[in-house]
Amino acid sequence: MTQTFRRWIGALLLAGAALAIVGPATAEERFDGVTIRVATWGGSWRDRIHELIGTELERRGAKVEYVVANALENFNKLIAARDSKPPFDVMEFQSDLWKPLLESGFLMKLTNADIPNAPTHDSVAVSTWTLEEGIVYNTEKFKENGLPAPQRYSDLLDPKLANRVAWPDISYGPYALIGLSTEFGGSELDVDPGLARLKQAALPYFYRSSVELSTKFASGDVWVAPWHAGWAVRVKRAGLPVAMVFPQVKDRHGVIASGMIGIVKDTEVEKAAAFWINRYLSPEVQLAFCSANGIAPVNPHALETMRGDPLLSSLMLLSPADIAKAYAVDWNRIDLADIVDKWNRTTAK
Amino acid sequence: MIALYGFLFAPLVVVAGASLAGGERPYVSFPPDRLSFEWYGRIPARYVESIGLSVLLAGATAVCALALAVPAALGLVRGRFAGREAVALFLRAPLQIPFIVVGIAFLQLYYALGAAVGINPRGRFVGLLLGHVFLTTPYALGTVTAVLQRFNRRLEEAARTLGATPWRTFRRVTLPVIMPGIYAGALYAFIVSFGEVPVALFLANPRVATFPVELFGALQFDFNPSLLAVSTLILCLSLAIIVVFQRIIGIDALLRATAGRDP
Repeated sequence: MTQTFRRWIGALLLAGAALAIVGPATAEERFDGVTIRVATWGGSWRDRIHELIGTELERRGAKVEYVVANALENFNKLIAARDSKPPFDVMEFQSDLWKPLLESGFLMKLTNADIPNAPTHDSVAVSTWTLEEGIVYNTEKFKENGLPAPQRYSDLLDPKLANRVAWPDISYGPYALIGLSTEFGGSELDVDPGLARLKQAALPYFYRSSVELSTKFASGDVWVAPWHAGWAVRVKRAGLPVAMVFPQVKDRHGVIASGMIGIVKDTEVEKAAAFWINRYLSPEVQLAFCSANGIAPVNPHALETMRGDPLLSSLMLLSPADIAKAYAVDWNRIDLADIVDKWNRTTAK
Repeated sequence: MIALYGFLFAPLVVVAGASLAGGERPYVSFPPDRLSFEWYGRIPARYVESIGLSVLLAGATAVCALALAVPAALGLVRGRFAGREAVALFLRAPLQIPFIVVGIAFLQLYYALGAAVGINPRGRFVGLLLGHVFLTTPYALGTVTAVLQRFNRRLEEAARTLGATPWRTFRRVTLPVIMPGIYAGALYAFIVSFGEVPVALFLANPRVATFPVELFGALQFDFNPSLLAVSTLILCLSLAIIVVFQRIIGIDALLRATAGRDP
């Protein structure tokens, strides 16, 4: 073998080795020149989403913008923009908007989207987290006043708690009303039993804002309220002595709702949107995001890790078995507009 | 009087006091158990940017509203034409429409415009400006009309008699006399535009988001004391503006514009 030939072989081997090292790095997906608009909730929710997902996309060249509003307002924006360019590319919402969004056709089917972190994605949205509804109460106030811990929604209608209960307005969601109705033979399709009991109890305060309720808990004006575990986690971390109960609803315990995410049809940034969703469902993002917000991740590894946190374990359902035993509202059958109408006629003041 | 001032200022004292509460907490804590300026240092940059946008928008709204209101007021007060009352009612109609309806209407209008001519002002400064000018022009019209109705036209006649042109008469005689009404109209338009939420909620986008929309979006989901800190700073800025206004123009000028006294 001549020296020249050996040199060529050596050079080729070196080049091959260099390609092997550099190759995977150049395979990282880039989104240079891409602007992705994400419809989501505001405040620390948006901040954490950006920290965990947005910054990664920015690192890969994308520009990230947030359309901050509640999901219903963003849905209205989609309706207004019908037949025009959509106002955002990715939309977060809760399961109460699942049916209207599915029927509206605003979201694209995710069948061919690149979302390996989602076990199945053959519909127009995937679940990203689980909201756990129950009863939050101030343990110190209950102890001082010799009151037993509430176990059911109807316990909150006890006259002894008359001025210390905050019941959620229907704008918060129908979960507590559904839970109360099931105790008296009703369901999400028949909330009349619950409405009748609420009217009879004549509760003085219905809350619309969790921020307002957390202030009332802190001041001691409110001792107990149907609320979700996310806020229980937040106020407990701030030092309030609260505990969480998941009351019986039919043969289940607690009420759950799903967080969901979809890609808007006719988006020009489908790949970036799919990347966004996939990253949202990654174990590390699921763990960090859901731990901070007091919601249960859909990723089983993240869920298992959260079980190791004493504060989260004390306030949340963190095992697949417990979550499976919670009551999931059938949003395909529920008529939310009818429930809101009945609520306004019965309890509005 | 003490009770009245207490009633008026108590919420402001609570906001300012709670902004000094140190520590992470998702609720308002007053009185603060631990004093700290921590949250003043943690005001997000996007709040500061949105305040700048809101000030710019409110200023532009005031100027544009007056540009429409002054000629309209002159026409309504001095014009004699059929349907004058109907025109006056029409120009004041935006006051009767809930702001959220205005927001939805403008949103639909912009999308229709985009579909028809390819220009959609939604999410742009000019789109917000048009919506706010629609809302605030009736306020400016009201204050300018009030001073014009009390204006002594003999002053203008005297100027014309002495050889002044119509434009010079307007500039040197009419305008100075109706200036309190113009200042009052500008202030009302500024205040309404700066604090407006429903229209901006529909017409804004992430690049063009006013301060009230940022606050609303943050409060909808959660709370942290930086919201109180930035609100306190806005309060201090407003007080400073009032002090400057008093020194340069005088609050009395504003009161005369809306009271029944001759200029």
